[in-house]
Amino acid sequence: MVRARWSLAAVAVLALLGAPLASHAAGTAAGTNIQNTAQVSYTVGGSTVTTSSNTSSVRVAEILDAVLTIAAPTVTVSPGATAEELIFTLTNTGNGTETFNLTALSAGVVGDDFDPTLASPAIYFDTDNSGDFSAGDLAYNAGVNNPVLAADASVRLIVVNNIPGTVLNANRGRSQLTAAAATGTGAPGTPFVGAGDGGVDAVAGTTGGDSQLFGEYLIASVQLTAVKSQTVVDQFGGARPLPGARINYQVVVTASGTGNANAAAFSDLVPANTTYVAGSLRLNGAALSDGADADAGTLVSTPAPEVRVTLGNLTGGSGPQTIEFAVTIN
Amino acid sequence: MNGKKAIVAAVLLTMTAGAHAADKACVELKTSAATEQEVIEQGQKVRRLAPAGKVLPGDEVVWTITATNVCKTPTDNVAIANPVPEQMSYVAGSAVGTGADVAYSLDGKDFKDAANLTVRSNDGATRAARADEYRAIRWTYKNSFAPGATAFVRYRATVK
Repeated sequence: MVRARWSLAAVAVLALLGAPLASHAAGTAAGTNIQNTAQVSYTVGGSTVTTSSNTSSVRVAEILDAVLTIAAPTVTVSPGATAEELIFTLTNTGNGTETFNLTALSAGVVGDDFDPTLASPAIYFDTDNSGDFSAGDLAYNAGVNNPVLAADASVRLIVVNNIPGTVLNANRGRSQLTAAAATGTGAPGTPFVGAGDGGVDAVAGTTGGDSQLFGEYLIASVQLTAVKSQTVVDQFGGARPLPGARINYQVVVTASGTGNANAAAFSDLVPANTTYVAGSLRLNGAALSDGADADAGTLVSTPAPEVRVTLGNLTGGSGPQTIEFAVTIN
Repeated sequence: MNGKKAIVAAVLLTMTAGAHAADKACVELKTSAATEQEVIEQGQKVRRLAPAGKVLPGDEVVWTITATNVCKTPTDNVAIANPVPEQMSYVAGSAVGTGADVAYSLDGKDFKDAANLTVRSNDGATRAARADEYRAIRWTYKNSFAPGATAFVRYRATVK
């Protein structure tokens, strides 16, 4: 009723301005009575007469339409992250005031690598209008606080998921939001007799009265960097690269960014014209044996001498890994 | 003095209205709305006009206006005028009326042929008016209506 009065007021103002009637993007509002009266003028017996016809009217039915959009279709996250948000906007593109039912789905959305886990509750309103999931945001409670949107009105909705800890770099996990007109959904043109605003008929619009959209969580790539430095010690107590001088190499490997660098491995060829100093390999200060055994270090002799160290699973929080070994100049 | 003039004018108006009432309406006018619907007749899909029930934005409504001379004398200079409902857009070329000239108006007062309707834009240039800018349609009959004669005019408009 309040809405009806508003639209009447709007009509009056526009009429005064002489402007054409405003209509919604979705068209004339549901329940509008379109009235038509014709006039006729004629002369009879020398006098001109003007009369009007009856007023014929047609009533505009309610179109049920919804459109979901997403702020960022892909959100980068870390393995094990909690309360990761996808920000949707639901717009009532119908021509009436409509209540919408919302459902979120993360398990079983096809086309992804892993299933995010829906938080409980999973759907929130952006109550504080921050554009982000924040403490003041109210959870959606089906049947209790469903969004009620006037024609063309929108509401921001937040779907919240937790990310499993087992996911790998570059994995993608999808989470889907569905908004459906409470009056009904169906193939475009499906009628809902008398179910629209003010008792007019409602009809499923081109969207079928509902909208479905998924967002994607992308496990962000972790980056490994290696910085190599060397010191030369000659047999005369100096630092000249003479035959017989020793070169101590230090390589610092650092993981940055988010995600896991699983089974990270370091390898470095022993430089030409040098000979590896047996037993010189160290990882983070701890000596490693040269043989292929339980510890992380190995000296591979074929096809060319090469130092290898397995570093295991690295994350940005692992800290720098320092590898040391030495060669002598032939 | 002013008061007396006003009273005289009121009396004159009343008399004029009375005279018309005595004539009764010689031409009765009836407006109806229909939509084209697909129906099956003898196994064939055909499109038929049916009284408009519900309409949706984008739907086309066929307005039919029927004029009948119910007097015993002929009526001359019969002209039917119909403002296009505000929530609707006239469909180009859809106005028909046997024996009548059709003219259109952008303001409901000044009627012209479709070819002569122009709109002046803000930069001063003029362009042909679009059909959805027509605000009224007028059908003017060339011949008089004999007693008992009936004619109808029709046009289509889409719901905005």
